[in-house]
Amino acid sequence: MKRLVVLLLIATAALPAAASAHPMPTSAVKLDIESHAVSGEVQIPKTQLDFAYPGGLDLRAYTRRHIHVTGTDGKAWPVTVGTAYTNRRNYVSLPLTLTPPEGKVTDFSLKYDVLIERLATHRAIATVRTQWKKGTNASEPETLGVYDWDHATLRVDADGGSWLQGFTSTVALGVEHIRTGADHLLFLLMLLIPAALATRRRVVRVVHVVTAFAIGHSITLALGALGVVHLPGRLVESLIALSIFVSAVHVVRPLVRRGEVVIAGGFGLVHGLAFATLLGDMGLHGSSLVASLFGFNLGIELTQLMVVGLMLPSLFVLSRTALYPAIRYGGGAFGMLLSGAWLLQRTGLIASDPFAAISTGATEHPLAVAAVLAAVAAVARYVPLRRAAVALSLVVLAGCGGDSEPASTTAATSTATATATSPGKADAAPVAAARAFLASLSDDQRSAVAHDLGDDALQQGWSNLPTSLVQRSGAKIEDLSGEQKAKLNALLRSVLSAKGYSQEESIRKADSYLAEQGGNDMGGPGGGGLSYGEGLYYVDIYGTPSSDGKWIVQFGGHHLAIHMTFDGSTVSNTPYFIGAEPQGEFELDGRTYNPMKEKADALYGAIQSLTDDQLARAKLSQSFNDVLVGPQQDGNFPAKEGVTVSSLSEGAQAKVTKAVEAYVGDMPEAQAKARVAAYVKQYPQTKIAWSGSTDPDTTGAYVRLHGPRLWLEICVQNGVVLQGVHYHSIERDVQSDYGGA
Amino acid sequence: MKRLLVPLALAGTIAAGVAEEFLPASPAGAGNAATAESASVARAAKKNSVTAKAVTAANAFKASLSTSQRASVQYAFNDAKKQAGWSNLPTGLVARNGVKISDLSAAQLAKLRTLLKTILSTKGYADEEATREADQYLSDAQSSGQGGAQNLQYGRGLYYVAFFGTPSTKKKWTVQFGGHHLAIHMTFSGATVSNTPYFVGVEPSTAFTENGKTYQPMKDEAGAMFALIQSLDSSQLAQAKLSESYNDVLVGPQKDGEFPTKHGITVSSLTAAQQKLVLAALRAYVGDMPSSVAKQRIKLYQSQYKQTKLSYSGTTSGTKQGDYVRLHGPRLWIEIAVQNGIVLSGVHFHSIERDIKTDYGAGT
Repeated sequence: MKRLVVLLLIATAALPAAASAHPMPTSAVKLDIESHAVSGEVQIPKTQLDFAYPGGLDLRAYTRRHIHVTGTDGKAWPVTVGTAYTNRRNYVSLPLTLTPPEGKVTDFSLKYDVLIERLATHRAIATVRTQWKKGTNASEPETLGVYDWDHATLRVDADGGSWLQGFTSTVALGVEHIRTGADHLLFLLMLLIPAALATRRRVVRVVHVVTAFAIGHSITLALGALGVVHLPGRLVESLIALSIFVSAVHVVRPLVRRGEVVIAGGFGLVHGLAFATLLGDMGLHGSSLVASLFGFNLGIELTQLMVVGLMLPSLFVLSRTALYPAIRYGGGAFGMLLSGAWLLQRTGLIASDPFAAISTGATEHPLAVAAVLAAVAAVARYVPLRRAAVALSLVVLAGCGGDSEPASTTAATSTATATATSPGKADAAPVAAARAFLASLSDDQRSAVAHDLGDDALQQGWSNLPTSLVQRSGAKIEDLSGEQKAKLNALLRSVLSAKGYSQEESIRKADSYLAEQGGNDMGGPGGGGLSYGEGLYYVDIYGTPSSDGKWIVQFGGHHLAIHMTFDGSTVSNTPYFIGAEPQGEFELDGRTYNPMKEKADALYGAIQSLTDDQLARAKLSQSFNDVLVGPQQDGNFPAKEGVTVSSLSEGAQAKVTKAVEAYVGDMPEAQAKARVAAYVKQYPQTKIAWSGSTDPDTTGAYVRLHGPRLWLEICVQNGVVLQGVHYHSIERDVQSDYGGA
Repeated sequence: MKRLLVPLALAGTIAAGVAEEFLPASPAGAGNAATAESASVARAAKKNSVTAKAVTAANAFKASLSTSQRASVQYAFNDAKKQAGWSNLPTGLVARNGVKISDLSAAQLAKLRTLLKTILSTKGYADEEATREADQYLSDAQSSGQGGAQNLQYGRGLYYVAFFGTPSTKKKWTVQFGGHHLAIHMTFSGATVSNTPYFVGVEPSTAFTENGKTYQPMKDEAGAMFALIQSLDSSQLAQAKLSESYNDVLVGPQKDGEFPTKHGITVSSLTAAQQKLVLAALRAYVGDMPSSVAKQRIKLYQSQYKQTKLSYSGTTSGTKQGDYVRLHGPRLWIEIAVQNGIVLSGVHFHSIERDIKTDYGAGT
């Protein structure tokens, strides 16, 4: 096992995509296991093939001769190899079918020495890409092992799992998808409000709405998953935002009589297309696709009914109270606001969703949202109108995370998200959130997450590299339960600003994008990395969370290292490493992200605003293709070089401030302001410098801000998984990294 | 045989090592050595002070470390990290054991150098230093923009030292030293010293200048191996040719004990002149350990020429990706492979010496 781990590390180690080979690129064998046959794909690096067979060869016939499959009964399985094609840079792929003679897939042994028989130093990494019965799908393949010159046979557990196990995992996927999909839920809620508030036959109308939505999205989910219909993800996502907006307008001012049913069915078609994208990513086909389709949809319907069950009683009660108009207009306006922002973001008119914290907060605490609504309904029903307004404002305040805590609304206060407190007073929210998160962990998990303040892992256990190359400590988020994840998200939201939180999320999404783009293929371009993905991020807590002692939250993984240190009322946010590949915008699950846009635009914008003469003085003599004071370089700051920031034009100084705000602003607002002010004050002792180019599309383009305390640097290096370039960047505080001594 | 060897070695160590000053030197036990090898071990052990000197140097180095450094440099002899924690790859890709030399103070570094000089021959020490200079050369090439843009760190300071087992003249212990393109394992078991696995590689494969000095770390190793294969005539070459291609070593890191079957031409069938070139290759690798122990080991490998095969793949020039030469005996394993450059254009070498029976001092 240890050997396998090391080999996998080596396989991933071909990080430098630009480099020829170090170590040599590996082949990949990927299997899709179904009940009656096993299909799959072999991917061979062209450089290695050309090296071993410089004269070329009939690759299809050759591959066929070097793959042998034997079932548990000792009988050989016929193997079919399809025509070779090139689907990725530098790799040749051949489709593969293994057919058990008895027509039923059992465990089998797979003997494979393609290329290895000729090139003894070559290796091939075998994975199960999909195995429906075990719930394995292409977004998280299972590694089988490594073929090399003295390991030609691997056993494949193809008979394991059960239909039920596979089905349950797709139901769970459906539940998860809609449960965390704020847009789908808001759409449903907007449709429920007019139906529930109707004066007549409202139960029937609710049933109609839910049924119409279910029919609508089921049709397109099936058509989309079967490949009949395909629309660009961005269009689908924009249409979904539009659907919510339309339904929100309908709440305020009915568009058509009983229009919610029409809207539910019509726009349900659009929502179904988004569901289909996710199912498509699982790489399923045949009977397992049909079963997955059914299971996934079942998960969606179950969740939907649960939401109806949670919200409807309160809405029914409210429809009989004097708050009826407030709920209608307030709810509608709320829906328009959120969906309007989504629409602008998804059509690319604005860079980020300003209300992301509200929507993610609400979806992660569905029970709390339901409890707030129930509390509002109860207050409205039993308290006379004038007093109701007062009580209601308290409830709403508590629900939105204000500092006031009405004693009567315990359920509501549990939703309180962190807001910045005034400097000088320790913010209680991070402490409470950290304690709640720790309390939700098992003993084993807790001992992995909680460290002494002096633990080496604080400085040693973070990196910009993928987690498969530099082991992180703590708990991996993909290993957390739904409840634990919710607590972790609450913690992250309490220690970061809304902007910081969405920054953190978008970097993790970029990692999933790398996985989607083949980064997880161990034989991927340049070897990729075997493990990218938004789940491969880790959280650690150093010291005991308290409002007077010092403690640190460390959160990160590939391209991300967050350190938020709390020491009484003092909060510090460094070292803060962020990077992103791809460099610019990308689309995942129909959403568009551009993680580094704000920061890179600001820093390169600042350097581009220098005059020619200033640029000449700000130029560093060395070249940089990575950050200088990166992981495990704590305290190793060079001498200050460059042009003094206070000598720049006012416009240029404003751009520097914008850059500082882009980074520092990822910590809660109140503390960020104080910190930005401290850095701005030191502009007479702060230098700006650059190297390579001021154009962020160029490898080696590097910008640095270096003051008595401020350290900010960003660099551009070649892509690792993808073509093009990508960013690495780090913010440090020269005196108070990790909260200082 | 094995049982005999151990007390002999112990007796020798006691005589030569710690007890030297306290006990009258006694030839006890050494006289009835059953084989040339054990006799030479015992003889070496008596006057040899390689182990004793190594213990002294290792302890002096360890004493210079801080408590936490000392804790991180010392492992149990059988710690699994010994086999898992070395590689030919840069240290950013495979984490190494122990302390990083760039973290050492000048005084600590001086003590480490003394240790390395004690456990290696003059040539071995020079090779080790030159390999680190090559890494610095790669680092310079990268930061001056001449290398490929990579997320990898190179540099003469990125090398690590670790101890497996406590330095002792009696019990077995290993010094592991290495980083990118280098993995030294010197194991001491009483008077018996073994030097494998020993991975050496270098980019660039040709001479380079660093800080005004010219280096070519693998000149003698690569020179000897390729000169040997070039000396074969066409019918010998036909016998020595391997059917597969190689662009790396076969029994590299984390492939301990996984040797293939022997192929190639028998070394004892080569001409006297060609056998001299085999000897030159042995000296190039084995000769990186202190000469007193290297000599007996070379003798042993020479005594097995009848069961030792020479083979190759690619061309014999040593300048093209895929050029590969191997010596494979009952105990000897040396292989060298040529692959394309990583940071620089041109090719570079990977090579490893192993002892099939005594890697990491096994069986000693």
